[in-house]
Amino acid sequence: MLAPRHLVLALLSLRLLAGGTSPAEQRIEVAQKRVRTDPKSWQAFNDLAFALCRQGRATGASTWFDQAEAALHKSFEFSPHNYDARKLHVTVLLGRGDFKEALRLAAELNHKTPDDIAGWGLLVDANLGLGNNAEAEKDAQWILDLRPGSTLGFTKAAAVRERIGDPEGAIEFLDEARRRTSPNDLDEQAWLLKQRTRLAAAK
Amino acid sequence: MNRKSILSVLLAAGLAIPQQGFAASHREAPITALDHKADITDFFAFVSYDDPSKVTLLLNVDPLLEPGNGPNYFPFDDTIQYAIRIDNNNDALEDVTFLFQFQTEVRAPNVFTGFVGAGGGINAPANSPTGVAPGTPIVPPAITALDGSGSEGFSLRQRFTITMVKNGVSTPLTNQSGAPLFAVPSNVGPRTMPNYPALAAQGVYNLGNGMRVFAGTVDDPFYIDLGAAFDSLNFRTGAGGGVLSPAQDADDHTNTAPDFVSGYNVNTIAIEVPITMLTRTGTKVAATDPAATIGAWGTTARPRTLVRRAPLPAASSGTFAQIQRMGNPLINELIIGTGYKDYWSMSQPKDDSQFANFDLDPLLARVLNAVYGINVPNPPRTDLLPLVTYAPPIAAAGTPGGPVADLLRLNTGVAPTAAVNRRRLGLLAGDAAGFPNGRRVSDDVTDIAARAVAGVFNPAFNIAPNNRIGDGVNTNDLPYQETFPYVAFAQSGRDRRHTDPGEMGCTMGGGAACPTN
Repeated sequence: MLAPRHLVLALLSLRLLAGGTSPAEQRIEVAQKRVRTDPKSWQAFNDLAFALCRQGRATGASTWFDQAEAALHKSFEFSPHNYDARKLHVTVLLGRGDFKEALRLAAELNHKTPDDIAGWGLLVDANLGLGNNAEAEKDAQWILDLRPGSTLGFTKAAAVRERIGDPEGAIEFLDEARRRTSPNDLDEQAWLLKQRTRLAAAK
Repeated sequence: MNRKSILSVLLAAGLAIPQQGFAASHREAPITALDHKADITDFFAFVSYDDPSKVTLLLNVDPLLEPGNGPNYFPFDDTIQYAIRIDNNNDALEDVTFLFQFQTEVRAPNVFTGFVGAGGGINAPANSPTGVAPGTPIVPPAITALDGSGSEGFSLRQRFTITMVKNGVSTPLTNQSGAPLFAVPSNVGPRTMPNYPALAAQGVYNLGNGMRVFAGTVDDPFYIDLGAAFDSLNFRTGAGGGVLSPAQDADDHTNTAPDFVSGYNVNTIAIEVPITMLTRTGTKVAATDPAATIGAWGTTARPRTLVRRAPLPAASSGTFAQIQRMGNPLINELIIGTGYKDYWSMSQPKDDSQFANFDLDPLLARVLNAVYGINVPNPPRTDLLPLVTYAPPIAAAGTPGGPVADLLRLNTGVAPTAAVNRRRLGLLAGDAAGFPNGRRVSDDVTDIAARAVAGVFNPAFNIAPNNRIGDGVNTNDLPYQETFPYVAFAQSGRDRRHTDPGEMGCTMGGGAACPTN
């Protein structure tokens, strides 16, 4: 695994080599190209929404979530009930801070497919957003139990640890998550590193 | 919530952006696909054939073990907590629990295989290369004992411990001889283990108070045309295409389809316990007494990673996370929907009402209706309640039903059936000591469960073809034992045989060829 400073350098180098384009932006470009090639593919629109949500997470700018929602509208047009788009729709709601509606839809998805840990992850976020810390902790614990060693489990549990006043424990889990994240998934690596740095600086 | 606070939540939460394609990776969950060692294959509970004052319970784990798969073969997982749980007051909560944990010892770290031995041992010959003098022992004597002389060939060996938890009190159960409890290894082959049955029999331990235990690798007692069953019920024409002829159905000793589990081993944990230690009255009572029926299930669990660390106040209880459970056979495989299988496995039986839609309106019934055109009862399938509540004909009339819960219910007051009268279809064939009244190792749960789903517990549906549904595999590839631990000991790694479609010897290696189509 790359040391944090090496990862930062690698990300900067990559951005320079790509003419100032970040990995998340590159992901958006690839998804947009696919949408142009296959304009009736709901999967292509899901990929685009996914890339836009990642960019929204990285920048904190709500416009990316607006664009993601537009992509999801197209996805639903071609496949009205597709599960992946419904999960991404919850992500859009979370990104906009509509935690109540996000929780309602996440619970609905979770009830239909409780073996999907991504659904539990959405529940964690929505509950944290609403201040339901005990519920968030229960959901994060379920992910760790259901899928021991999963990246998502460590990421969500880190968020809960931070919320309940255990920043050192959160850093420990973020490191575990980063160790398990593909080195090719640079924007996720960068995101995890950013969280770690923020927590370490706040200590 | 203002923008700043929204962002702070996002930063804290990390914002879940779900990766896509769950439908293509639904077996990512640990229980059904990734965690072989914690995978429960079967669970059995029956009144001991040769001692009606006792119940035998077996928890089988780690499926489809190829007997020749050295060098380490099939140790139990030291990090897993294996458990057998008993409810004796109809609330689907455990009242008596037996916990098993294993510990692996490496006795010969430089030897490249877990088990080695031949004859009286083989020494370095006269032309031994330099560094090892002629006459130096190279291969130890054949393995004839689990401990002491004759056990030199164990490079790997496992001990295990048992704890009984009853009324909240934990009691270690130990070998009455004072010696450790050793798990029986797989049958490597006749050179290494020249008298395997005698070696395996050493693994039956007396725990005192009438209890016995055995843990180790054994022949998998389950039998099924697995390939046909999961090829969308594509059963062989030679086996009636899924509906047996009266003659095929009446013959419990002849297979007309290949047993896909033939030639495979499995790991078993078996314990025999006096009935008086299991019932709520502390006595063995008549079958007509509501206290006679117990509910049993097995679980596997692994240590948890907890969100909350000490010294923060505990919000999560328990240091183990349940990986899988099993009461009745085939519930998770055939009844529970794919997106719920792990959730079901990790849930507690007392909470099974949340799965009542699966249990009492099984999709499999609709598949049987569609594939075979047979009539099946309308939901809710109250005819299936005896499988998931305490109800007649298993429990005595007047027994509290308790919550919907997947437990293997056993009426301990029903005497065991003698071998000559034992029927593979158990209760459906009038053999009161067979599944679904508990489960014996020989019960044909595939045919019984399929017929139950087709509605045969309801007299109006106990007609052909519903009551002749079957896969054509009516018996195991090895004879079972008539005494504890009742399963056949492990198949030989050198000489095992898997009986495939088209091969001669469809029944225990003899008789006609197994049909291909």
